[in-house]
Formats: sequence, C-alpha cells, structure tokens
Amino acid sequence: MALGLACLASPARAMVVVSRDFPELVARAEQIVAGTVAAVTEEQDAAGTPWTLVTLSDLTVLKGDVGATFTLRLYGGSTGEVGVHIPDMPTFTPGERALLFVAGNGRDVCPLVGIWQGRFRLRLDAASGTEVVDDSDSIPVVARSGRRLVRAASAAPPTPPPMTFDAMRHLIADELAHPTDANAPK
Amino acid sequence: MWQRTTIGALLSLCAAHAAFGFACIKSSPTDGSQPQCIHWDQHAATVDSFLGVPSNPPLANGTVTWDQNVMGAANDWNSSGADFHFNVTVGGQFINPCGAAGGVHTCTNTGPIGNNPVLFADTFCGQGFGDILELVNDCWVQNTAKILNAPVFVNSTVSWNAYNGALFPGGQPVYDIRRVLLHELGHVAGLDHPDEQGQNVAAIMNSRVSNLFQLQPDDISGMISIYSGGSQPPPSDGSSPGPSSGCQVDAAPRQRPGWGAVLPAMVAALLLGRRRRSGASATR
Repeated sequence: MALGLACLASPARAMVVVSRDFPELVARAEQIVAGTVAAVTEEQDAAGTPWTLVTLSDLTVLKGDVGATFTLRLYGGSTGEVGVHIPDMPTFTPGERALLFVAGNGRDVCPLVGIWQGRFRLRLDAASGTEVVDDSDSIPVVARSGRRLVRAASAAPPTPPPMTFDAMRHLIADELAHPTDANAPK
Repeated sequence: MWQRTTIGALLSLCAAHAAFGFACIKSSPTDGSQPQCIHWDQHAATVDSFLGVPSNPPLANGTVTWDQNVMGAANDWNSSGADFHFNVTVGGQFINPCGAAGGVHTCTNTGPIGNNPVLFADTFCGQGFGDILELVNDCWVQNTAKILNAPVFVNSTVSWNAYNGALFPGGQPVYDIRRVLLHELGHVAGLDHPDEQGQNVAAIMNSRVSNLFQLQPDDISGMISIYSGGSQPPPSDGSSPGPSSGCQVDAAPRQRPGWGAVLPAMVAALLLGRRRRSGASATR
C-alpha cells in the first residue's frame, strides 16, 4: 500500500530560517561566487532522495576555492512519478545571473547562508548599462548601512540607484579584509 | 436585508482592497486534472509531539513542556472556525520518519501514512539544517491532493524558548517555538506563504518569522478557504503562474470557496483586525 502510494505522492518542505546580516553572510560563507546558471538538473541519490543540481559557469569567485564551474546541490526535485515541491527553497533558471553565499554544499538541505538571504540576483540595469544587485525577491539592493544591506523598498526617498555588482564586490572584499566585530550592535 | 447589505459591503471591501493574500500548497496532477490545494481528506490530522520537557522549565510563556506549545498552536488553528481539527498526542510510539520511500515510508523521509511526528533533530534525516530552524515535509498524492503525512523537524542546535511579543525581546537569538509551530502547523494543513505570492499582508504564514505571534485574519481566511464546511477544497486558479499560488479569494467565480467559508473569514478578519496589531519583520 505504502509503496504504491509512494509512486503517486510528493513531498514539500516549508521552513523557518535564521536571520543573517551582511557580515554574517560574508563570514559564514565557505564560498562566495557570482556566475551564470548554465544548467539545472535533478538526480536521486542511493537512498532515493531527490536533489536539484544548479551549475554555474562564467564565475567570479570572491571567497573560497572553486573550479571553472560550481555546482550547488539543493534538496528536492523530481524523478519519474515522484516529485518534490519545496515552497521555501530557492529556485534557479538557466541563463540567470546570481551571487551566492554558499555554506554546507553537499552537506546541508540548502547550502546557502540564510537560505534566500544568501542568494542575490544580478541583472543588467538599462539606465546605467551596468550589472546591479537585487535580493532574492528581486528588490534592488541600494546600500549598506551598518550590518544591513538596504533594499530599495526600505530606503528613504528619493530611492538611491541600485548597487552595482562592482560596488558589491568591493563591499565583500572590504568585509573579508576587515571583518565587522561580531559583537557590534545589530 | 441587513445581511445582504453587510455581505455586499464586505465583498466590496474585499474586492477593493484585496485584503486577503493567503495561499495554499498546490498539487501537480499527472492526469490532466486541475491543481488543487493539498488537504487532509477527513478535515483532521493527528500530530504526535515528541518535543518533551525543556531543561529549565517553565518557559517564558508559562508552559512547562515544549509539547504544551504544540497543543497551544494546534488549538489556535482549531479555534479558527475552519472545518478542520488538529488532534495532538504526546509521547506515543515514535516511528522514525527518516528513510527512503517504500516500505513504511510513503514519501522519502516522511514515515507511514498518517504519521506526523513533531520532533527535535540535529539534522534533517542526515542532511544539515544549515540556517533552517524548522521544516515540514508534506507528502501528498498528486492527482487527488490528499495529504498523507507531514512530519515536523525542529532544529535542536539553536536556542528555543516560548514567549509572546517581539521576536528577540532581549536582542538575543532565542527563538519562540510557539509561533514557529503555529506557522509549521499551517503548512501541515496545506497553507503556503502569502508573501511569496506577491502579497503584502500580516500573516503568521508569511515566509519570514516576525514579531507576529498569533494567527492573523489572513491566516484564518486561508484555513477556512481550504476547509470549508465539508465541501471539497477549492481548486486553485489554473491560470496562476506558480505551483503554489492558488486559493486566493479573488480567483475566478467557480474557484471561490463557498459563502459559508468566505463570510466567516471576512467577519473574523474584521473582528481580529480591531484587536491585533501587526508586527514588523525581524529579518529585513
């Protein structure tokens, strides 16, 4: 009975996560990479657990040892009649550009620091002709204020222009070189 | 007459302000049928709490066991007015939900049908939690949308307490297990995150844990929408873009829940809206 239903049933996962600020994203990440999603594939491990594999190429590595490509392993996916739908798990589309703060890849359910908080989208800003940074909800990041990254939605008007990827790279490099005191007020 | 006027006024209010953004987890049928909100066929689910007793009771909200907070969260949902009931057992026979599908496991890492343990664990079946505090592994039949089981895993490596009010009242990262359980039991019942469906509403079911610690009108509306007076759960809007964006009350007419569901939800929303204030997100 259970085996029969297993062929028809699908699990989903919903989660509550720890809040992470910018210094924590940088400090906790084992790898920080920006790249283009080259492929999204699925596989099952020996235990039948489905995994989604997101392979990035055209990499800019800001922290950690990474090869020419980088593959992120996320719990969930579908194989045959068994599917996994994960409401909270970040999803990726081939061709998109991403900046990822990665920890626990190959070990954790979701190897992103703070789950969606460790995933940023990169896009070409038509106004400036430069690549800019959005958060996982596609809200532009406009500045850093203390430990926090300021989003356009929460910035005081007039809304500042989106942060360029180049500016974000410098923020990350600065944080790596001069880490914020972990005891500094949040 | 007054009823028609009241209903009309409430409907106008709803239509004008799109006050409800609740969402459900949707099935992905393989037989060509419409996706539906996943749901418990008998409008009831039994959760088996194995959380036990904290090392230093009582907890900040006066409870002396973690299990009491499971019961409290379940009772909150049971009082929502939906035709749905959580039964809670404490310390029964534990069946490990971890394992591959087949045998006693209906889906991978879910255990047998109807087995819904709430347990502390330091991993999700061997996979690290990372920054995940708690997760639910819902398992359902795609073509009928019937939920079969939904174990709840609570990350034992973070600090928990149980309290009302602001998320971190002392600025310390000690998490309120009760509001997190309230959220996860919503997922056990089939609810999804309204804020991930482009909605900006106050809701325990929002994806970000916040200063909210009680069910909000939008949460109640969502539960009533799925479990409405013994009728079939409403199919989701087939035209909606995502796999989990259904069950909004502004769906096409044939997809709306019946009046028996919508009207109590609206009344509850109005009443609760007077009594409760929404809190700010703690994560952003």
